[in-house]
Amino acid sequence: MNAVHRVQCDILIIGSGAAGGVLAATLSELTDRRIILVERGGHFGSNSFDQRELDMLRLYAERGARGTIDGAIPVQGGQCVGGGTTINYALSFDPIEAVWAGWRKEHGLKGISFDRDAADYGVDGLNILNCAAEVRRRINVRRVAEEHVNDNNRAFEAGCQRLGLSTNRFELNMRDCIGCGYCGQGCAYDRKQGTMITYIADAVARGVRLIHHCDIETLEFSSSSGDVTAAGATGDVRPTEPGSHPNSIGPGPITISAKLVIVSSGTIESPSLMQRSGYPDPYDTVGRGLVLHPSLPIAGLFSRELRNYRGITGSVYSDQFYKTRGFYYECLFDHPVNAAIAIPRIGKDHFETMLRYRNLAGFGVMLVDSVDASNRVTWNPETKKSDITYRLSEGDKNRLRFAARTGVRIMFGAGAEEVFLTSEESIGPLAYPRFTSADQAAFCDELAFKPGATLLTSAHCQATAKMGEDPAASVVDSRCEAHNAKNLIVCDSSSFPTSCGANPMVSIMSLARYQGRRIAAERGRYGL
Amino acid sequence: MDRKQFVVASGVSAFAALAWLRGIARGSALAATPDAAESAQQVALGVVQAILPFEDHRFPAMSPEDVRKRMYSIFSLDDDAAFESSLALFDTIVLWANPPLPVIALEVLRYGQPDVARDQRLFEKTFTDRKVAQARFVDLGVDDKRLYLAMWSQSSFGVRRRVYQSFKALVHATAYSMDALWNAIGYDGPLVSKGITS
Repeated sequence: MNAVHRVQCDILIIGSGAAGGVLAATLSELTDRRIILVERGGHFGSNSFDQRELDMLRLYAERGARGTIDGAIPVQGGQCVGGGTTINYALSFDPIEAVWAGWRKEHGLKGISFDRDAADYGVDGLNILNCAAEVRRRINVRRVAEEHVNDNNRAFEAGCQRLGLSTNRFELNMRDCIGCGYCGQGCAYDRKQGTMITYIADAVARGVRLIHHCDIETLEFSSSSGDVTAAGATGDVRPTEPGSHPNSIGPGPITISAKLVIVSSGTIESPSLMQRSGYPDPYDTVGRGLVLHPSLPIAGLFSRELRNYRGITGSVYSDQFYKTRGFYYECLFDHPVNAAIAIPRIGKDHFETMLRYRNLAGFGVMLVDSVDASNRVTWNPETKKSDITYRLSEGDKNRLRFAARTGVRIMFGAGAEEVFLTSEESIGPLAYPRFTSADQAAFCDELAFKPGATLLTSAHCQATAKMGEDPAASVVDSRCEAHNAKNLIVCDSSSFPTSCGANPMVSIMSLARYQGRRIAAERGRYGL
Repeated sequence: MDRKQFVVASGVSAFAALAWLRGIARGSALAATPDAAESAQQVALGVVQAILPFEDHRFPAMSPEDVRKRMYSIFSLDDDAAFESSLALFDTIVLWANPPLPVIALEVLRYGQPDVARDQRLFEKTFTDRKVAQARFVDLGVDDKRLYLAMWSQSSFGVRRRVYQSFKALVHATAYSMDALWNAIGYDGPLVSKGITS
């Protein structure tokens, strides 16, 4: 029979991804408080990463099955120690000052200064620039070296140059990458510097207790004199899966008491946890305004073989249209299972394309989508899962059409003989979007982005527990403190009021570092 | 590892599709027959035959049944009543032209009003020349199986498009995780299994 665990700590952090890992390390660095870091997934080390796509789905939320309820968009995320930083492509963008300035202006946020001399909340050196710099150092963010750019990325770069579009080299959080091409399956060589081997390792070395395989069912609250105060959480520790490091506790129900509860479970799970815990939400703000960064893959067939699935997967991008149209082109490539699923058609048509797998090139459009309150996350008590409701706005569809049209031209400019989209929609005279000349790119204007017909993907969900100073329009304030409960902080990608404007890992980590330093300095505020 | 959840969404598709199919199955006798599992295996075999070009000389030597068995094994599909129901419904061609009311209701809820008449015209356009009289997908020849499956990809029903994507994802994930297909397409696979571990 499983034991019932009752555990006490000062600070409980729920979620060990980009935010939770940094918070655990920062708070253990700057305080001597007892900290517990909880993770739903397992603690799989690099020696268990076998580089096989289906096996490594165990590192993903819902084992890769999470998606919008209409099936239009798979919503990928990490569910393992390290979260998304374990399975992402290491693409590192600094926080974008204009976006954060917009949050100050539009959402009334205080602090989050971009002045290196600023001391937000009276804490020496506390500002976003310094926090981002500290994050960059710890996870070793560096620009891709010239010799590591593979053929796929070079083709994309050449296509952009042919059209007169600007390109940049990505910065990546890697150390001596060997170029195996399996970032998405977890780095088997510990070269990607995710939180599992950086911040969480630091935190555990300082005495933070890591509990993995732990499903947190509800947050616990106490009430007195009309005030609601977070007091901990209850859940269940599952048996440790084969291949995982041992757990710090046995299987069974668990109750964790804490003075301060920090929810860092990500954009989908953080609002869900609040909803199923009965968190007071008089303005129905929790979970609303989801953004996904929908991505549309664009593939090209070349007459020559390319080094595509080996080497650093993403090393070149273009932000030519970021300021004017709100999207990026980012170079990426898939291994056969994901490639076969994404490539349209069945039978011989599909096989002919797969036979030329070595001749394929790929990149994607990453759309910075607009906020719509009807796009949201809702806890579904029947299925015991989060329902993700999302529809592209007409404005966003129009921007995607432009991006697709231009992307097709880029691919032809790179030298592709044929270009196709991951779609079964008929457009113009084409049975599906497979183009034999750049002139046909204009047919992209007819794309309807029908669910189940055109494959869009998402790996950057954000903004479902928004920061803001108006409780009627946000979930947490500038300190990431919940508006309607004391001693409850929500700090992760859900805290962003809108899209952070780029691949979010470093922005999330910078916010976590910032709030971690602030919490440590203001610990009396939480009775710590 | 339990990959069942992958089945449910299979990368691109199927939560709503299978939920829909489960809902319909509750009100139908289609899945309640004693030989439901065996019938479902025949439909699954037909889906595998339609999606992969076994007749192509460049396709690796393997049988559709090999792939079906592997798919059932990887995704734990034996005794999966919901999967069997979905296959039974897919197999019943008459349901294309006469979608039950709960199907339409769910479609409206998830995707908006479907154009039922357009789907009927699509069927007629696809099969008029071929004079398809069979009532079941499993009885179609392989070319017609492909046409029938491809028709689902062009449906005005979002749930039908998702069924197509779901089947496609299951079969392609099964096939393209096999060494034989990797060899055929020139993919040399994981480095750790070649001893490159650092």
